[in-house]
Amino acid sequence: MTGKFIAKNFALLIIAGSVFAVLAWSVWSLPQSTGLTFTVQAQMERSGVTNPVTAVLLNFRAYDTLLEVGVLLLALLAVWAFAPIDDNYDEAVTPPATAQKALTAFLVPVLLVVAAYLLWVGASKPGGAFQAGALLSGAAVLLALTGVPYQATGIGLRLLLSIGLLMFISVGLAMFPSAFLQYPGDWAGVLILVIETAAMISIGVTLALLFYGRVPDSQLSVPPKQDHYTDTDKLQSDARDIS
Amino acid sequence: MSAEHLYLLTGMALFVMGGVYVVSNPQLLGKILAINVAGSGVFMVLITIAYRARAEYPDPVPQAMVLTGIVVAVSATAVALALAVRVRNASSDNDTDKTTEE
Repeated sequence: MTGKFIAKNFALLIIAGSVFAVLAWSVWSLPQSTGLTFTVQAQMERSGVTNPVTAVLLNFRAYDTLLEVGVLLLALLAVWAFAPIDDNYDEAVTPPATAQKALTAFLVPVLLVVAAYLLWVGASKPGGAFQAGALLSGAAVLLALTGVPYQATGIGLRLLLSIGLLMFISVGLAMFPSAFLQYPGDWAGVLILVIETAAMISIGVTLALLFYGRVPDSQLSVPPKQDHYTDTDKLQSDARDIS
Repeated sequence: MSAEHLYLLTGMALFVMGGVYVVSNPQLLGKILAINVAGSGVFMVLITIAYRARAEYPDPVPQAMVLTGIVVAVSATAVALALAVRVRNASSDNDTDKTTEE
């Protein structure tokens, strides 16, 4: 038993060590190149922003970011598809403490202001839609944990969730007849800000709902249990109740 | 050894540690966390590579890739957690069924 245990861990150690060695060798043998730094630098004037990372994210490789916003939305759809709908979900298990309420009342406005700042400053310094959206979702999670009742449902919620992707695609298509997402130099800064604002809202709402983990208005869309359940389901749930 | 080498080695060590945990531990939640640890290692290596050339500023392309990667990692983690919850619910249902059959 212990011999087998030692052998297994020894084998794991050998494998991990060799993976580490191969990784180290491949990273060390990378050439000391400047990568795409100067390529980006040469095009910065046409990007509409002065922060090179934002320029890459929302202009030079905007396609990547468009798909990334799509991935976020897809992830939420997948989580909703897996979400249980028939269990009794306790909204707030323990009532929030006074200190928690006070802290939330203080932090949420601060988070909103910092999110707006990060969105704006992304054009010239580190920041942008994803950082700002993460802060927004942090504020939403704080509110949810403090027992503030959940408001957005139905088509309004779906609009908030998809406005980032919709705005991104519409701006991309509006560039016709030039290529998809190829902004004209004078307008690039404004277009990037428009896309980032919409993306920030969608990212904030999506991340908050990923935390929530279930469809917020599932009660509205799921038919009553008696009609919904087949006989076998009923039997199984009865058996569960008995045991 | 410069700071750069330390970052690279730490990143690779995190990647390997996460990988070892994923293959050697049966707990789903642990696996999900370990994948995130491994992912952080990858991000660390990419960011360090962006800094290596020591130009006027670090290469922005790997930085943008890491930003994209973080968001995708968060999304994948959320889906994995939802799946893990479903797996746990399904297996506990099966357990109940077994006890009622017996």
